[in-house]
Amino acid sequence: MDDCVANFPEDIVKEILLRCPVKSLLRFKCVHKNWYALIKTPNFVQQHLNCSKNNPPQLLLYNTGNYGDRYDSRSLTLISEENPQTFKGMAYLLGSVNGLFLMFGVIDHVHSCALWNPATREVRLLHLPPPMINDRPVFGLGLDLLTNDYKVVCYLCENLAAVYSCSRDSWRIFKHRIPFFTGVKQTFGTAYSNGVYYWLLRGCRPSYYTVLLFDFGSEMFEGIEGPHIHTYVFGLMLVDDSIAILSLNDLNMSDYAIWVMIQPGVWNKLVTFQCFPFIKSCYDSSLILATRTSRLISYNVRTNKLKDLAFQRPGIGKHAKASGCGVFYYNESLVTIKQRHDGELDH
Amino acid sequence: MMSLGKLITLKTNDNEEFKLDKTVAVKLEIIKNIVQDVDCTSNVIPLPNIDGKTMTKVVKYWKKHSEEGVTEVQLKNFDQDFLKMSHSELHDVHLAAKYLDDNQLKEVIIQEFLDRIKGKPIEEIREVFGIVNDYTPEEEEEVRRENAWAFE
Repeated sequence: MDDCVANFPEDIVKEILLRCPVKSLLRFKCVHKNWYALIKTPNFVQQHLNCSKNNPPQLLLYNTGNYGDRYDSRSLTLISEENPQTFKGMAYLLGSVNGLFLMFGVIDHVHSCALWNPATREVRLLHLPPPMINDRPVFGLGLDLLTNDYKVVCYLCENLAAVYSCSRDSWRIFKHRIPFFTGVKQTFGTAYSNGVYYWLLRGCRPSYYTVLLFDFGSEMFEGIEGPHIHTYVFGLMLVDDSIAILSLNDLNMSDYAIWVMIQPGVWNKLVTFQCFPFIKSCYDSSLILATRTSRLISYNVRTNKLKDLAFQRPGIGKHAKASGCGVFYYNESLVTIKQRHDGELDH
Repeated sequence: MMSLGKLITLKTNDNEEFKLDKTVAVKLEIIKNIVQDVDCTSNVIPLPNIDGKTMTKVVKYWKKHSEEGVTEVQLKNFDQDFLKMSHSELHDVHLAAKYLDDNQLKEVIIQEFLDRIKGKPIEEIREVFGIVNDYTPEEEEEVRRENAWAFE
C-alpha cells in the first residue's frame, strides 16, 4: 500500500508535536533520533510553551501533612492518581513560572529549596549558601528575560539576600536595603510576572503595607507603597498580571475586596464580592474557590461569572498543611532544570 | 445565469481542471493574490504543487464548507467522513492546504493527526508518519529509561 509517507516534512511533524502534552513528548523521543533532537531544542521548548499557554491550564493539587507535625518531618505530596510524587522535608510550594515550581522546607535541620517541573518530574535541589540556612528565608522564583535564565531569590529579614542562577548553577550573596517589615502575607496563585516577583509585606504600623519586588534582570529589590487597608488583608495575587491585594471590605465585613495597582503606588478597588468559603488560588482574572461541598469553581473578578471546574475532592477546602490541598493552575512545559552533567544522550 | 467572470479554473500539475465559483475561491488569500495577477481572459490558475486526486478532496471540502444554510452538525459529520483517508493522503491534503494557505483545513488535518497518535504505542506512531526506526534496541531502551514513567 501507499500508506507510507516517504518524506514527511519536519514542519508538519513539528506543528503536530507542538500541540502534544509533555508526557506524550517524553515518550515520542524514542520514535526517531530526529524527534529526540527536535523535542530537546530550546527553540521547540519555547514554542511548545507558547502553545501550552493557549491551552486550558493544568490543575496541580498538593498537601503538606499536618500542622501538628514537626517542621522537619513534613513532606510535600503531589496529589495525583497517575503521577504521585512526594518530597520529604518540603513544606511550601510557589509558582509557577513557565511550568516550574519552587518548593522549600527543612531537610536535616537546615532550610532547603528545590526547583521542580511536575510535568517532566525533573527536580533540582539547590543547596542554600551558609548564611541563609539557619534563619527563615523568604523565596521567589522567576525568569531573567534578557538571558532566559531561571533564577531563585531568597532573603532574610535582616540585611542579606541571595540569588541563584540556573545557568551559573551558583548563588550570589548580597546585602539588601529592604525597609523594616513585620511579616510576609500569603500569595494566591503565582506572584511572578514579566521578569519580576512580588511579595506583600506588612509594615511597621497597622494598615501599612508594602509591595516588595525583585527584578530578576537587574537582581535588585524595590518597594512600592501599598494601599492603607484598615480591615484584614489576606494576601497578594496577580489579576491579569496586575498586582492585586485581597482583603475584607471596609464597609461590610462579610464581603471581600480586591485592590489593584493601576500605577506604581496608586490603588483602585476593583471589585467587592460576597464571602466565598475557601479561596485557593488565582489564575488570570479568576479566583479559584473551593465550595462547602468540596467542588472547585472559578470566579472571574472582571465579569463576575462563576464557572464549575468539574472537579471534586473531599477536604479540598482545607489548607494544604491541614490534610487539605493547595491548588495551582498552571501551564505545563518542557523547560528543563537538570544540570548539564546529568547524563544527556549524545547524537 | 452565471457570468463567465464568476468562474475560476484551477489547474493541477497533472492537468486536471477544477471550476470554482469565484466567491468560494477568493476566500483564500493565495487564490485572491493569484487572481489579481492572472490574465483576465483565461481565468486559469495553475497549481504546480497539487495533483488532481488531492485537489478533488480540497474542492469537496471547500464546497461543503461554503454551502449556504449548512448546519454545524452537518459539517461535523462531513468532516468526520472527509478525514477517513490514509495517512499519506491526509498528508497530501495538508500540503495542499498549506500551499493554498487555508488555515482552517490545515487545522482540521493537524487535529486528525493528533487524534491518530493519541495514546498509541511508539510503533504505531512510526507507521502514521512512515518513519523507519533509526535506534538500535539498546539505544531505544536507554531513551525509554530516561522517562520510564511516561510509558506506564
